[in-house]
Amino acid sequence: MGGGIMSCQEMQSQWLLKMSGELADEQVRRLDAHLASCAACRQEAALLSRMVSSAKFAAQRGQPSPAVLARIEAAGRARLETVAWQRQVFRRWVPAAAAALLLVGVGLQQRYSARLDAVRSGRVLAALVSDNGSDASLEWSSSGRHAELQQLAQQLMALQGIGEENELAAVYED
Amino acid sequence: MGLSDMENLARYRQGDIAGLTELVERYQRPLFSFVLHMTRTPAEAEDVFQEVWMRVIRRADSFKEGSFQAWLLRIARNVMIDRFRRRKPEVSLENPDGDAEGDPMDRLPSHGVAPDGEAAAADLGRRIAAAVAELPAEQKEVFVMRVELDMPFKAIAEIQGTSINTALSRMQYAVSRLRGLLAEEGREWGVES
Repeated sequence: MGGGIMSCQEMQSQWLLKMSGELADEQVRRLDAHLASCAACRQEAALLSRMVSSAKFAAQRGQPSPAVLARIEAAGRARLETVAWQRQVFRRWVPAAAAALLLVGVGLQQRYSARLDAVRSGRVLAALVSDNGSDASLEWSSSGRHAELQQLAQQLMALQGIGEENELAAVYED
Repeated sequence: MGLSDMENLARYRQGDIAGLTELVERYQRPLFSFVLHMTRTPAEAEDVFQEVWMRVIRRADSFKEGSFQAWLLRIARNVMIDRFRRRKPEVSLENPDGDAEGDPMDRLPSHGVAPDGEAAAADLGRRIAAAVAELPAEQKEVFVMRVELDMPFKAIAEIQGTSINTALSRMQYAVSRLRGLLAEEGREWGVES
């Protein structure tokens, strides 16, 4: 048996690939040439063909029960409802939450901005006090900016937790 | 002409249940046929079939491209492997060798020939079905996907996570075993091997 370019050992795999449409044209020609020249392989191919067509005919014809199909559809609907609910929540609440966060952020920024200004003022005062008698403080006092210093000291007194600056402010109240 | 699988899936993702219903209807027969071959009973096949679609529903957003049928069968395969793992002790009793290597699908139980003597039936197709049921799981899988679902070896190989040559080899082993099983009774097959 055998003959041709293709060997008998190759025939079955090539035939299977041809049946599934996965054999290149050139290979198909080689297979056909081999089958034309090899009676044993022709018989084998006929057997395979018969086996496959019989198996196709005998394919399982069962199908799932309507109850199973109904459960799948119910699950599909439930999933859609969940997704729709999530989208609704996202559309309604996410913008509201973002706006709330923005307001809180602005509020915090304003509050801490004022506090930071006061602390900076305190540092100026502290610097002046520590330089008491120095040219810098004398310059401030002599330039008529005493009232400005008092205002800064009052701001500091309004702050909680900055005891040292309160004492410093008292120094400048007179 | 109906919508493509991708279009139906997109329809479902957008909130239209008809997209899912059409997919279930389209793949009901091939999927159930495959699962029925690979499980023990119709009841178990129904459980697997249902679980496959539950996973499809949960993961509908994750399918991006490729063959929907191949994706479906890959899920089915995973569902069956998960079930096998859950009942492993029971299966290992049937398989005392307990070979833990290789693909778990290969360790799924094969059908026995039905007690009412299906192998003795005159109909060749039914005898083939009985013989197919005796095949090792991986070979049976390839045989069913190729012959009944008409899938190319390339797609089968992707589903099994193997090469096209391995899938082809499994098919050849399956064919060879079927010939052997049928030869015991197969005058009409003219099998001389």
